Amino acid sequence: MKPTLYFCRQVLMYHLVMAAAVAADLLLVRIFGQDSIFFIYVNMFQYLFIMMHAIGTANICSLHAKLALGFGATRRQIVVGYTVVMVVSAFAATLLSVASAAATPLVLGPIAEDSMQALMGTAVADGSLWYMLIPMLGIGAVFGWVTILKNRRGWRSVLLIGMVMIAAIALWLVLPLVVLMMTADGDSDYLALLNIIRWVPLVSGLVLFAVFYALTVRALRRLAL
Amino acid sequence: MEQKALCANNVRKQYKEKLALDGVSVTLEPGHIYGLIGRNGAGKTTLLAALTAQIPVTSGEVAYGGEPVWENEKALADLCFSREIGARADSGEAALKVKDYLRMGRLFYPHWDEEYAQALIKQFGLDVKQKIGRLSKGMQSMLTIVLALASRAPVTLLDEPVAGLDVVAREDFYRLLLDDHMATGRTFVISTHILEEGAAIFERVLILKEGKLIEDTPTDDLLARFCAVSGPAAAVEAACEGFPVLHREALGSHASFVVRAPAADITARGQAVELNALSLQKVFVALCGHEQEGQA
Repeated sequence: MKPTLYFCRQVLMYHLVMAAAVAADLLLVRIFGQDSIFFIYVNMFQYLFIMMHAIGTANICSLHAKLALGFGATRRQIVVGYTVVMVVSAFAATLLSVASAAATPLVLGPIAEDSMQALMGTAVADGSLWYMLIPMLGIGAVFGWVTILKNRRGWRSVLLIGMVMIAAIALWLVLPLVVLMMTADGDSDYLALLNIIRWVPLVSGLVLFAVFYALTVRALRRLAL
Repeated sequence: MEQKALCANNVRKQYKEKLALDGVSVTLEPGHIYGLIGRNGAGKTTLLAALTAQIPVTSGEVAYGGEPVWENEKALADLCFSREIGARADSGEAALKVKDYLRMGRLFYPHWDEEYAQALIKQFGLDVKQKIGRLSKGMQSMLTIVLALASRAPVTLLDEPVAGLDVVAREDFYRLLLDDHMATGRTFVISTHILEEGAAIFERVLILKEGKLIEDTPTDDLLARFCAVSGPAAAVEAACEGFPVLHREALGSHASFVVRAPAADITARGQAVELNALSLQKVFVALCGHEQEGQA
């Protein structure tokens, strides 16, 4: 329980700071108008919350897990703490993204339909929350593992793994396009493509989460100072 | 406070090419102050880390009150391993503030004494808002001391607690340690290279050499087993004949030997030699220094 509490405090603090920053930015846009520089950040809210979640999870795996071990936590406690906090952080980041998307038009009035916030609002209305939460879990798991790898073997192995992952994801994204191009016969294929691509974040998020969560847990179980 | 013994039974730890611990067996009886000494790389930190389950051992077992320590929440709640901060630069402690580090102690150590921690912080003049990485080496040592003492853990292990401390601060530390020990009866294990002040405090001495525990003896008994013999070379040779000579020095017709024999046994030989007791530091050098290799 102790590592869970400790990890929670560390990670949720990131989200709170970011939520405060987002609120401040909305206020500044409200004061200075949508043509001010502060409006640029409105389209970045989602990425900022994703970033906070990724950094928070990475810090748990690299710094705080080791500190907790040094203070007498068991590896089992650390794994439980990491799991709970990763899921809580992914939920928090998703909910804060949704909340910021919902709050933006309320604070600023109508915003451009192609802005990220408007798209997020549509996704929420569609009930597509899972399409954000699952990739969020995947991103957290990847960042956690990458920091462990970096601490163990240095940045070179991280770069290598990163390149392999990018290649794999690129291939996966390109593959449906290639299949479609080979069988293309009109507008119906465009819709089919959209249907396939719609699943990419969900499936890739699940795959990334399953693989990298397992690797991270294995590493945390073997943690040593 | 319930008192239990912490035991290592035939513990081996292999790091790739290096055998850091080679079949170490030791029982840390409750209520004692142990001094753990050894040269750099002898395996002191590895032994302390193994005793507190911070590293997995290759073979052997560590038990506290008869229960294995590994992944044992109850046992680990009674143990505090206060490590040298500088040696853990990769773990990122340097980025934490003093108050955050102490907050972790409050959260993780069930016997934590906040009042005592605050008193020690005041005594050492630690700035709680300062980042650990910006503290001097001595101040970092003081922080590890605050953590170890305020943890009130029944078994507290300190790795190089006096590194970087001046002689006054070292004396302050040993006085605080003794006061605490007398008040609580906690077990302390102190790993150190600075033996002058420690020798008077350690009830037992554990000496590690190349991963092997070569001594686990009450300090007074250990010191009584060695003496320095000096005088005319022939008389010294005769007085020490048959005893393991750990160190030899010759100066003209005079000689000075460090010998593993009680002074009474040398006196019994009736030679005209001068006998001197050895300090713990001298005994340690005699046991672990290069010069005695192949002679003991």
